[in-house]
Amino acid sequence: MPLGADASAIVIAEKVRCGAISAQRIVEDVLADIQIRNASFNCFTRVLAETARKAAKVIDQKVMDGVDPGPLAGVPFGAKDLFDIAGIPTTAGAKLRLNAPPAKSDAEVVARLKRAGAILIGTLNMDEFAYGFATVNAHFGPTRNPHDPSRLAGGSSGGSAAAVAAGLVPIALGSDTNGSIRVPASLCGIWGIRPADNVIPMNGVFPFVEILDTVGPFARSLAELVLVYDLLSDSKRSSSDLQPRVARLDGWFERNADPEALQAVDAVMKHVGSYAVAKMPEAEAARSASHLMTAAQGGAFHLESLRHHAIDYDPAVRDRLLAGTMLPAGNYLKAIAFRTYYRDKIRELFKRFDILIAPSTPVVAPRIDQATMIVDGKPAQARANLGLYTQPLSLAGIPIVSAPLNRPGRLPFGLQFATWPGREGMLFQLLSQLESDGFLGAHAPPSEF
Amino acid sequence: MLMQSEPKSFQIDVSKLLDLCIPDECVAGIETSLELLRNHARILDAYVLQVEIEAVNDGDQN
Repeated sequence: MPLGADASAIVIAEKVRCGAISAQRIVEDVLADIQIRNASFNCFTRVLAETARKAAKVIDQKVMDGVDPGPLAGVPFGAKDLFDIAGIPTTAGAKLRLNAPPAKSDAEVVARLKRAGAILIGTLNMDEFAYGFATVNAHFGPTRNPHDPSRLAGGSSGGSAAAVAAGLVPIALGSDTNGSIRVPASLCGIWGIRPADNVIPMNGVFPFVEILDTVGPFARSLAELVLVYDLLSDSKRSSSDLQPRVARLDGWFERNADPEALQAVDAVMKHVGSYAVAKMPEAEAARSASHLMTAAQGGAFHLESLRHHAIDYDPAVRDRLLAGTMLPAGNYLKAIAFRTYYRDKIRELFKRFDILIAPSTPVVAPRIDQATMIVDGKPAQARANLGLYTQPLSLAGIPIVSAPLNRPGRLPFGLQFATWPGREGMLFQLLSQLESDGFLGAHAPPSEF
Repeated sequence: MLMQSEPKSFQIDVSKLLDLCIPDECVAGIETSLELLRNHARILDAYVLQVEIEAVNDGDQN
Protein backbone atom coordinates (compact mmCIF):
# COMPACT_ATOMS: atom_id res chain seq x y z
CA MET A 1 0.00 0.00 0.00
CA PRO A 2 1.73 3.23 -1.07
CA LEU A 3 1.67 6.24 1.21
CA GLY A 4 1.14 9.74 -0.14
CA ALA A 5 4.00 12.19 -0.32
CA ASP A 6 2.50 14.10 2.58
CA ALA A 7 2.15 11.10 4.92
CA SER A 8 3.01 11.98 8.50
CA ALA A 9 6.00 10.60 10.37
CA ILE A 10 3.59 9.03 12.86
CA VAL A 11 1.59 7.16 10.19
CA ILE A 12 4.76 6.00 8.42
CA ALA A 13 6.32 4.70 11.63
CA GLU A 14 3.11 2.90 12.64
CA LYS A 15 2.85 1.13 9.30
CA VAL A 16 6.52 0.22 9.11
CA ARG A 17 6.60 -1.04 12.68
CA CYS A 18 3.68 -3.38 12.10
CA GLY A 19 4.94 -4.56 8.71
CA ALA A 20 2.08 -2.99 6.74
CA ILE A 21 4.61 -1.28 4.50
CA SER A 22 8.36 -1.69 4.14
CA ALA A 23 10.89 1.01 4.89
CA GLN A 24 12.48 0.19 1.54
CA ARG A 25 9.24 1.02 -0.23
CA ILE A 26 8.98 4.29 1.67
CA VAL A 27 12.53 5.23 0.70
CA GLU A 28 12.03 4.38 -2.98
CA ASP A 29 8.84 6.46 -3.08
CA VAL A 30 10.58 9.41 -1.43
CA LEU A 31 13.60 9.21 -3.72
CA ALA A 32 11.34 9.09 -6.79
CA ASP A 33 9.33 12.06 -5.52
CA ILE A 34 12.50 14.09 -4.88
CA GLN A 35 13.74 13.22 -8.37
CA ILE A 36 10.57 14.71 -9.85
CA ARG A 37 9.79 17.66 -7.58
CA ASN A 38 12.98 18.88 -5.89
CA ALA A 39 13.97 20.92 -8.95
CA SER A 40 10.91 23.13 -8.44
CA PHE A 41 12.01 24.16 -4.94
CA ASN A 42 15.76 23.42 -4.74
CA CYS A 43 15.59 22.00 -1.22
CA PHE A 44 18.15 19.19 -1.36
CA THR A 45 21.84 19.84 -1.98
CA ARG A 46 22.78 16.14 -1.82
CA VAL A 47 20.53 13.07 -1.95
CA LEU A 48 22.09 10.09 -0.16
CA ALA A 49 20.16 7.42 -2.01
CA GLU A 50 22.37 4.41 -1.43
CA THR A 51 22.92 4.98 2.29
CA ALA A 52 19.17 5.54 2.68
CA ARG A 53 18.44 2.26 0.89
CA LYS A 54 20.88 0.41 3.14
CA ALA A 55 19.34 1.93 6.27
CA ALA A 56 15.85 0.98 5.09
CA LYS A 57 16.96 -2.61 4.56
CA VAL A 58 18.23 -2.77 8.13
CA ILE A 59 14.91 -1.44 9.45
CA ASP A 60 12.92 -3.99 7.45
CA GLN A 61 15.15 -6.78 8.72
CA LYS A 62 14.54 -5.69 12.31
CA VAL A 63 10.78 -5.78 11.71
CA MET A 64 11.06 -9.27 10.21
CA ASP A 65 13.20 -10.43 13.15
CA GLY A 66 10.77 -9.05 15.70
CA VAL A 67 13.33 -6.48 16.93
CA ASP A 68 11.96 -3.02 17.84
CA PRO A 69 12.98 -0.77 14.93
CA GLY A 70 12.40 2.42 16.94
CA PRO A 71 9.64 5.01 17.26
CA LEU A 72 10.53 6.63 13.93
CA ALA A 73 10.97 3.38 12.01
CA GLY A 74 11.29 4.09 8.30
CA VAL A 75 10.57 7.82 8.63
CA PRO A 76 12.55 9.77 6.00
CA PHE A 77 14.22 12.97 7.14
CA GLY A 78 16.54 15.63 5.79
CA ALA A 79 19.23 17.62 7.58
CA LYS A 80 20.35 21.18 6.96
CA ASP A 81 23.79 21.06 5.38
CA LEU A 82 25.58 22.08 8.57
CA PHE A 83 25.08 18.82 10.46
CA ASP A 84 27.97 16.36 10.25
CA ILE A 85 27.07 13.28 8.24
CA ALA A 86 29.67 10.54 8.53
CA GLY A 87 31.59 10.10 5.29
CA ILE A 88 30.72 13.36 3.51
CA PRO A 89 31.94 16.97 3.91
CA THR A 90 29.83 19.35 5.99
CA THR A 91 29.50 22.25 3.54
CA ALA A 92 27.57 24.71 5.76
CA GLY A 93 26.23 25.95 2.43
CA ALA A 94 29.67 27.13 1.29
CA LYS A 95 31.41 26.41 -1.98
CA LEU A 96 34.76 26.59 -0.25
CA ARG A 97 33.82 23.63 1.95
CA LEU A 98 32.74 21.31 -0.87
CA ASN A 99 36.09 19.52 -0.61
CA ALA A 100 36.44 19.70 3.16
CA PRO A 101 37.48 16.45 4.86
CA PRO A 102 34.51 14.13 5.32
CA ALA A 103 32.92 14.10 8.75
CA LYS A 104 34.09 11.16 10.86
CA SER A 105 30.75 10.66 12.58
CA ASP A 106 27.19 11.92 12.52
CA ALA A 107 26.12 14.97 14.47
CA GLU A 108 24.52 13.85 17.72
CA VAL A 109 21.00 14.87 16.64
CA VAL A 110 21.35 13.01 13.33
CA ALA A 111 22.57 9.95 15.25
CA ARG A 112 19.61 10.18 17.64
CA LEU A 113 17.08 10.21 14.81
CA LYS A 114 18.84 7.29 13.13
CA ARG A 115 18.84 5.34 16.40
CA ALA A 116 15.07 5.97 16.57
CA GLY A 117 14.74 4.29 13.17
CA ALA A 118 14.53 7.40 10.96
CA ILE A 119 16.27 7.32 7.61
CA LEU A 120 18.43 10.20 6.41
CA ILE A 121 17.57 11.06 2.81
CA GLY A 122 19.91 13.97 2.16
CA THR A 123 21.30 17.38 3.03
CA LEU A 124 19.28 20.58 2.67
CA ASN A 125 20.01 24.04 1.30
CA MET A 126 20.76 27.03 3.54
CA ASP A 127 22.20 30.51 3.52
CA GLU A 128 25.98 30.28 3.40
CA PHE A 129 27.30 29.64 6.91
CA ALA A 130 23.72 30.17 8.16
CA TYR A 131 24.12 33.97 7.82
CA GLY A 132 20.77 35.02 6.37
CA PHE A 133 16.98 34.88 6.54
CA ALA A 134 16.38 34.02 2.89
CA THR A 135 18.14 30.82 1.69
CA VAL A 136 19.37 32.62 -1.38
CA ASN A 137 22.69 30.86 -1.74
CA ALA A 138 25.18 32.26 -4.25
CA HIS A 139 26.57 28.80 -4.99
CA PHE A 140 23.62 26.43 -4.59
CA GLY A 141 20.86 28.79 -5.75
CA PRO A 142 17.72 29.96 -3.94
CA THR A 143 15.31 27.61 -2.24
CA ARG A 144 11.80 28.42 -3.42
CA ASN A 145 8.68 28.56 -1.29
CA PRO A 146 6.40 25.57 -2.01
CA HIS A 147 3.34 27.81 -1.60
CA ASP A 148 4.61 30.12 -4.37
CA PRO A 149 7.97 29.34 -5.98
CA SER A 150 8.46 32.98 -6.93
CA ARG A 151 8.80 33.74 -3.21
CA LEU A 152 11.43 33.19 -0.54
CA ALA A 153 11.33 30.10 1.65
CA GLY A 154 12.99 32.07 4.43
CA GLY A 155 16.25 31.16 6.07
CA SER A 156 18.69 30.18 6.95
CA SER A 157 17.13 26.71 7.26
CA GLY A 158 15.04 27.30 4.13
CA GLY A 159 15.83 23.97 2.48
CA SER A 160 14.63 22.14 5.59
CA ALA A 161 11.39 24.10 5.87
CA ALA A 162 10.58 23.94 2.16
CA ALA A 163 11.28 20.19 1.97
CA VAL A 164 8.80 19.56 4.79
CA ALA A 165 6.21 22.03 3.48
CA ALA A 166 6.43 20.49 0.00
CA GLY A 167 5.93 17.01 1.43
CA LEU A 168 9.30 15.75 0.19
CA VAL A 169 10.07 14.52 3.74
CA PRO A 170 7.83 14.59 6.83
CA ILE A 171 10.51 15.95 9.18
CA ALA A 172 13.78 17.86 8.88
CA LEU A 173 16.48 19.32 11.07
CA GLY A 174 17.49 22.96 11.08
CA SER A 175 19.38 25.44 13.21
CA ASP A 176 18.25 28.71 14.77
CA THR A 177 20.70 31.42 15.78
CA ASN A 178 18.63 34.56 15.17
CA GLY A 179 15.46 32.99 13.80
CA SER A 180 16.68 30.52 11.20
CA ILE A 181 14.06 27.91 12.16
CA ARG A 182 11.20 30.24 13.00
CA VAL A 183 11.43 32.52 9.94
CA PRO A 184 11.30 29.73 7.32
CA ALA A 185 8.72 27.80 9.36
CA SER A 186 6.54 30.91 9.26
CA LEU A 187 6.99 31.64 5.55
CA CYS A 188 6.53 27.97 4.53
CA GLY A 189 3.54 27.41 6.84
CA ILE A 190 4.85 24.60 9.04
CA TRP A 191 5.85 24.00 12.66
CA GLY A 192 9.35 24.65 13.95
CA ILE A 193 10.90 24.94 17.39
CA ARG A 194 13.92 26.79 18.67
CA PRO A 195 14.73 24.94 21.91
CA ALA A 196 15.97 26.51 25.12
CA ASP A 197 19.73 26.83 25.40
CA ASN A 198 21.60 23.57 26.09
CA VAL A 199 18.55 21.31 25.71
CA ILE A 200 19.38 19.75 22.32
CA PRO A 201 23.05 18.80 21.83
CA MET A 202 25.19 20.76 19.39
CA ASN A 203 27.92 18.16 18.83
CA GLY A 204 28.77 17.89 15.15
CA VAL A 205 27.00 21.10 14.13
CA PHE A 206 29.02 23.61 12.10
CA PRO A 207 29.03 26.72 14.29
CA PHE A 208 27.80 30.17 13.36
CA VAL A 209 27.51 32.17 16.60
CA GLU A 210 28.10 29.67 19.36
CA ILE A 211 26.60 31.85 22.08
CA LEU A 212 23.28 31.94 20.18
CA ASP A 213 23.24 28.71 18.14
CA THR A 214 20.52 26.10 18.70
CA VAL A 215 19.17 23.23 16.59
CA GLY A 216 15.65 21.85 16.26
CA PRO A 217 13.10 20.08 14.08
CA PHE A 218 10.47 21.08 11.51
CA ALA A 219 7.21 19.17 10.96
CA ARG A 220 3.76 19.58 9.43
CA SER A 221 1.88 18.85 12.65
CA LEU A 222 2.42 19.59 16.32
CA ALA A 223 2.31 15.87 17.20
CA GLU A 224 5.21 15.15 14.85
CA LEU A 225 7.15 18.16 16.09
CA VAL A 226 6.79 17.10 19.73
CA LEU A 227 7.61 13.48 18.95
CA VAL A 228 10.91 14.49 17.33
CA TYR A 229 11.65 17.19 19.90
CA ASP A 230 11.33 14.66 22.73
CA LEU A 231 13.72 12.28 20.96
CA LEU A 232 16.30 15.05 20.48
CA SER A 233 15.98 16.71 23.86
CA ASP A 234 18.27 16.01 26.79
CA SER A 235 15.68 17.10 29.33
CA LYS A 236 12.53 15.27 30.35
CA ARG A 237 9.48 17.38 29.69
CA SER A 238 6.87 17.62 32.43
CA SER A 239 3.18 18.12 31.77
CA SER A 240 1.03 20.56 33.68
CA ASP A 241 -2.65 20.78 34.47
CA LEU A 242 -2.35 24.46 35.33
CA GLN A 243 -4.04 26.97 33.07
CA PRO A 244 -1.21 28.90 31.37
CA ARG A 245 -0.99 32.63 31.88
CA VAL A 246 -0.88 33.89 28.29
CA ALA A 247 0.05 37.38 27.15
CA ARG A 248 0.68 39.07 23.84
CA LEU A 249 3.88 41.00 23.29
CA ASP A 250 3.20 44.56 22.20
CA GLY A 251 5.39 47.49 21.21
CA TRP A 252 8.26 46.27 19.04
CA PHE A 253 6.34 43.09 18.17
CA GLU A 254 3.41 45.04 16.74
CA ARG A 255 5.31 47.75 14.90
CA ASN A 256 5.58 46.87 11.22
CA ALA A 257 3.40 43.77 11.53
CA ASP A 258 0.97 42.79 8.81
CA PRO A 259 -2.52 43.67 10.13
CA GLU A 260 -3.58 40.08 9.51
CA ALA A 261 -0.84 38.85 11.86
CA LEU A 262 -2.11 41.14 14.60
CA GLN A 263 -5.69 40.03 13.98
CA ALA A 264 -4.52 36.44 14.36
CA VAL A 265 -2.85 37.24 17.67
CA ASP A 266 -6.10 38.96 18.77
CA ALA A 267 -8.13 35.90 17.82
CA VAL A 268 -5.86 33.52 19.71
CA MET A 269 -5.86 35.73 22.80
CA LYS A 270 -9.63 35.99 22.75
CA HIS A 271 -9.94 32.23 22.35
CA VAL A 272 -7.73 31.52 25.36
CA GLY A 273 -9.62 34.16 27.34
CA SER A 274 -6.69 36.45 28.03
CA TYR A 275 -6.32 40.17 27.43
CA ALA A 276 -2.93 40.45 29.08
CA VAL A 277 -0.24 42.47 27.40
CA ALA A 278 3.44 41.85 28.11
CA LYS A 279 5.87 44.75 27.80
CA MET A 280 9.36 44.07 26.54
CA PRO A 281 10.83 47.55 26.13
CA GLU A 282 14.28 46.04 25.64
CA ALA A 283 13.27 44.28 22.41
CA GLU A 284 14.84 46.71 19.92
CA ALA A 285 18.07 46.89 21.89
CA ALA A 286 18.05 43.09 22.17
CA ARG A 287 17.82 42.82 18.40
CA SER A 288 20.73 45.22 18.02
CA ALA A 289 22.78 43.31 20.59
CA SER A 290 22.11 40.11 18.64
CA HIS A 291 23.25 41.79 15.43
CA LEU A 292 26.49 42.97 17.02
CA MET A 293 27.26 39.63 18.68
CA THR A 294 26.50 37.78 15.45
CA ALA A 295 28.76 39.95 13.33
CA ALA A 296 31.60 39.95 15.85
CA GLN A 297 31.56 36.23 16.68
CA GLY A 298 30.89 35.18 13.10
CA GLY A 299 33.64 37.46 11.83
CA ALA A 300 36.14 36.23 14.40
CA PHE A 301 35.36 32.60 13.58
CA HIS A 302 35.88 33.16 9.86
CA LEU A 303 38.78 35.60 9.96
CA GLU A 304 41.53 33.09 9.22
CA SER A 305 39.52 31.55 6.40
CA LEU A 306 38.75 35.01 5.02
CA ARG A 307 42.46 35.81 4.85
CA HIS A 308 42.96 32.97 2.40
CA HIS A 309 39.60 32.39 0.71
CA ALA A 310 37.67 35.67 0.84
CA ILE A 311 36.99 35.52 -2.88
CA ASP A 312 35.20 32.17 -2.47
CA TYR A 313 32.60 33.50 0.00
CA ASP A 314 29.10 34.56 -0.98
CA PRO A 315 29.68 38.34 -1.33
CA ALA A 316 26.66 39.21 0.83
CA VAL A 317 27.92 36.96 3.62
CA ARG A 318 31.55 38.05 3.24
CA ASP A 319 30.69 41.73 3.59
CA ARG A 320 28.93 41.16 6.90
CA LEU A 321 31.62 38.87 8.27
CA LEU A 322 34.35 41.34 7.34
CA ALA A 323 32.42 44.17 8.95
CA GLY A 324 32.14 42.00 12.03
CA THR A 325 35.91 41.57 12.21
CA MET A 326 36.21 45.36 12.42
CA LEU A 327 33.68 45.88 15.21
CA PRO A 328 35.37 47.56 18.20
CA ALA A 329 35.65 45.25 21.20
CA GLY A 330 33.79 47.76 23.37
CA ASN A 331 30.66 47.42 21.26
CA TYR A 332 30.82 43.65 21.42
CA LEU A 333 31.35 43.64 25.18
CA LYS A 334 28.45 46.02 25.65
CA ALA A 335 26.22 43.59 23.73
CA ILE A 336 27.39 40.73 25.94
CA ALA A 337 26.71 42.77 29.09
CA PHE A 338 23.29 43.71 27.78
CA ARG A 339 22.49 40.04 27.23
CA THR A 340 22.90 39.32 30.95
CA TYR A 341 20.77 42.31 31.88
CA TYR A 342 18.12 41.37 29.31
CA ARG A 343 17.87 37.78 30.51
CA ASP A 344 17.18 39.03 34.03
CA LYS A 345 14.36 41.16 32.63
CA ILE A 346 12.92 38.19 30.74
CA ARG A 347 13.09 36.06 33.88
CA GLU A 348 11.03 38.71 35.68
CA LEU A 349 8.49 38.73 32.82
CA PHE A 350 8.01 34.98 33.09
CA LYS A 351 7.22 35.28 36.78
CA ARG A 352 3.95 36.87 35.67
CA PHE A 353 3.30 34.92 32.46
CA ASP A 354 3.81 31.40 31.12
CA ILE A 355 3.44 31.94 27.40
CA LEU A 356 4.11 35.02 25.28
CA ILE A 357 2.71 35.38 21.77
CA ALA A 358 4.03 37.46 18.86
CA PRO A 359 4.13 37.14 15.07
CA SER A 360 7.05 35.09 13.73
CA THR A 361 7.58 37.34 10.73
CA PRO A 362 6.25 40.82 9.96
CA VAL A 363 4.99 39.79 6.52
CA VAL A 364 4.22 36.78 4.34
CA ALA A 365 7.05 35.51 2.14
CA PRO A 366 8.49 38.31 -0.02
CA ARG A 367 9.14 37.65 -3.67
CA ILE A 368 12.68 36.43 -4.33
CA ASP A 369 13.36 39.52 -6.45
CA GLN A 370 11.89 41.90 -3.84
CA ALA A 371 14.82 43.87 -2.46
CA THR A 372 13.07 45.99 0.15
CA MET A 373 10.18 46.07 2.57
CA ILE A 374 8.85 48.97 4.60
CA VAL A 375 10.17 49.18 8.15
CA ASP A 376 9.13 52.15 10.29
CA GLY A 377 7.82 53.90 7.18
CA LYS A 378 11.06 53.61 5.23
CA PRO A 379 12.32 51.09 2.67
CA ALA A 380 14.69 48.60 4.28
CA GLN A 381 16.39 45.43 3.09
CA ALA A 382 13.68 42.77 2.99
CA ARG A 383 15.94 39.81 3.71
CA ALA A 384 17.66 41.42 6.68
CA ASN A 385 14.37 42.36 8.32
CA LEU A 386 12.54 39.07 8.20
CA GLY A 387 14.01 38.41 11.65
CA LEU A 388 12.58 41.58 13.23
CA TYR A 389 10.53 39.58 15.74
CA THR A 390 12.70 36.48 16.14
CA GLN A 391 16.02 38.10 17.02
CA PRO A 392 14.98 39.73 20.31
CA LEU A 393 13.61 36.43 21.60
CA SER A 394 16.69 34.48 20.50
CA LEU A 395 18.83 36.49 22.88
CA ALA A 396 16.67 35.33 25.79
CA GLY A 397 17.67 31.68 25.34
CA ILE A 398 14.11 30.46 25.86
CA PRO A 399 12.10 27.80 23.97
CA ILE A 400 9.97 29.20 21.16
CA VAL A 401 7.63 27.43 18.74
CA SER A 402 6.71 28.99 15.42
CA ALA A 403 3.20 27.70 14.74
CA PRO A 404 1.47 28.02 11.35
CA LEU A 405 -1.76 29.96 11.28
CA ASN A 406 -4.66 28.01 9.84
CA ARG A 407 -5.33 29.98 6.64
CA PRO A 408 -5.85 27.55 3.75
CA GLY A 409 -5.48 28.94 0.26
CA ARG A 410 -3.46 31.97 1.37
CA LEU A 411 0.25 32.59 1.76
CA PRO A 412 1.25 31.26 5.18
CA PHE A 413 2.73 32.90 8.18
CA GLY A 414 3.23 31.88 11.76
CA LEU A 415 3.05 33.02 15.34
CA GLN A 416 5.77 32.64 17.95
CA PHE A 417 4.79 31.05 21.25
CA ALA A 418 7.59 31.55 23.77
CA THR A 419 7.80 30.05 27.24
CA TRP A 420 10.26 29.73 30.11
CA PRO A 421 12.59 26.70 30.08
CA GLY A 422 10.88 23.78 31.82
CA ARG A 423 7.40 24.89 30.80
CA GLU A 424 7.51 23.27 27.35
CA GLY A 425 4.83 20.75 28.36
CA MET A 426 2.42 23.55 29.20
CA LEU A 427 3.24 25.23 25.89
CA PHE A 428 2.61 22.07 23.86
CA GLN A 429 -0.73 21.56 25.62
CA LEU A 430 -1.89 25.04 24.68
CA LEU A 431 -0.71 24.61 21.09
CA SER A 432 -2.49 21.26 20.84
CA GLN A 433 -5.69 22.92 21.98
CA LEU A 434 -5.28 25.74 19.45
CA GLU A 435 -4.54 23.23 16.68
CA SER A 436 -7.63 21.17 17.60
CA ASP A 437 -9.76 24.29 17.72
CA GLY A 438 -8.71 25.29 14.21
CA PHE A 439 -6.56 28.33 14.92
CA LEU A 440 -3.28 26.68 13.99
CA GLY A 441 -2.38 24.13 11.33
CA ALA A 442 -0.26 23.47 8.27
CA HIS A 443 -1.72 23.15 4.78
CA ALA A 444 -0.44 21.44 1.69
CA PRO A 445 0.83 23.87 -0.96
CA PRO A 446 -1.24 24.36 -4.12
CA SER A 447 -1.07 21.24 -6.25
CA GLU A 448 0.13 23.12 -9.36
CA PHE A 449 3.52 23.50 -7.70
CA MET B 1 25.11 45.84 35.44
CA LEU B 2 25.22 47.71 32.19
CA MET B 3 28.28 49.65 31.19
CA GLN B 4 27.68 53.38 31.24
CA SER B 5 28.25 55.05 27.93
CA GLU B 6 27.12 57.80 25.62
CA PRO B 7 25.46 57.16 22.28
CA LYS B 8 28.19 57.49 19.71
CA SER B 9 29.25 55.86 16.53
CA PHE B 10 32.46 54.05 15.77
CA GLN B 11 34.52 54.91 12.72
CA ILE B 12 36.61 52.38 10.89
CA ASP B 13 39.25 52.82 8.28
CA VAL B 14 38.32 50.12 5.81
CA SER B 15 41.83 50.22 4.40
CA LYS B 16 42.85 48.43 7.60
CA LEU B 17 41.27 45.35 6.13
CA LEU B 18 44.10 45.29 3.65
CA ASP B 19 46.37 44.62 6.63
CA LEU B 20 44.36 41.44 7.12
CA CYS B 21 45.41 40.38 3.62
CA ILE B 22 41.84 40.69 2.32
CA PRO B 23 41.86 41.38 -1.44
CA ASP B 24 40.71 44.83 -2.58
CA GLU B 25 37.76 43.49 -4.52
CA CYS B 26 36.42 41.78 -1.40
CA VAL B 27 36.17 44.95 0.69
CA ALA B 28 34.30 47.05 -1.86
CA GLY B 29 30.87 46.29 -0.42
CA ILE B 30 31.73 46.36 3.24
CA GLU B 31 30.66 49.93 3.98
CA THR B 32 26.93 49.08 3.87
CA SER B 33 27.47 46.31 6.41
CA LEU B 34 29.55 48.61 8.60
CA GLU B 35 26.83 51.25 8.54
CA LEU B 36 24.30 48.63 9.65
CA LEU B 37 26.54 47.72 12.58
CA ARG B 38 26.97 51.40 13.47
CA ASN B 39 23.18 51.77 13.55
CA HIS B 40 22.80 48.80 15.86
CA ALA B 41 25.61 50.06 18.08
CA ARG B 42 23.81 53.43 18.31
CA ILE B 43 20.50 51.76 19.23
CA LEU B 44 22.14 49.69 21.94
CA ASP B 45 24.09 52.68 23.27
CA ALA B 46 20.96 54.81 23.40
CA TYR B 47 19.07 52.14 25.33
CA VAL B 48 21.90 51.61 27.79
CA LEU B 49 22.18 55.34 28.38
CA GLN B 50 18.45 55.63 28.98
CA VAL B 51 18.60 52.81 31.54
CA GLU B 52 21.54 54.47 33.29
CA ILE B 53 19.74 57.83 33.41
CA GLU B 54 16.59 56.22 34.80
CA ALA B 55 18.68 54.42 37.41
CA VAL B 56 20.28 57.70 38.46
CA ASN B 57 16.89 59.45 38.59
CA ASP B 58 15.41 56.64 40.65
CA GLY B 59 18.35 56.94 43.00
CA ASP B 60 17.77 60.70 43.35
CA GLN B 61 14.12 60.15 44.19
CA ASN B 62 15.00 57.56 46.77
